[in-house]
Amino acid sequence: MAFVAFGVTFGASLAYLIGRRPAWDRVACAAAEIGELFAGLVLVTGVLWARTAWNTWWTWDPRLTTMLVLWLIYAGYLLVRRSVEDEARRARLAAVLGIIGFADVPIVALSIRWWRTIHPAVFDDKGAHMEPRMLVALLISLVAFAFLFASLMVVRVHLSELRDELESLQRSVL
Amino acid sequence: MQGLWPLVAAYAVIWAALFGYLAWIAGEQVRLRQEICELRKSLPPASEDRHRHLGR
Repeated sequence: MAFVAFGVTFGASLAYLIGRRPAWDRVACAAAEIGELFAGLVLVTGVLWARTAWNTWWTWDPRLTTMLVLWLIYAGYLLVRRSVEDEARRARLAAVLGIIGFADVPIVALSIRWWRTIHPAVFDDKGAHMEPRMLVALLISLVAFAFLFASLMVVRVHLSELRDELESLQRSVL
Repeated sequence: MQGLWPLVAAYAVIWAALFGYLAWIAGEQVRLRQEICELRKSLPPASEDRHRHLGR
């Protein structure tokens, strides 16, 4: 679901650069933040799983490393958003980063095919390699997390709207 | 039972992160609404007239 979120950031960033509508910037920001949360959860819960499966908390495996890089890219994206004062410049810079950063998503997804890795390849050209009951559980959680992502997006975009309203009010007062 | 600790820890991490994030959003919304309210009160009368004129 983190990949979906970063995909939304990519699409919204592209739409912002084309149309310059602030609404797209708000969507891109919200999706990046939620994607970062989900990616962080992947990393932390993955570490817990690795301790049990591989008897180590962390290894510089291609899948783990590229996922960590992806998390760092979007951490940088969120930091840039906080550090630039000018609204238009911030949105433009963030949109460029949101597009470039997405390049790491297919690298993370395909890393288990491109390089030698100890990470299991659950899905490949021949389908899913897991117990049918596990597949059902995976699909149910995928649907649940999709709803969670959509709900968080609505709430987070509204928060950005409030921030923009406050900024425009502050400008009109000053 | 001992083998269940990663599952329990994963659930704890996920719920803590989600509730933490939701609590932060809720806190920010309350703060922003308060600031917006205060700023609207401090707007000069001319600006208030303009807002009334625009039906806001």
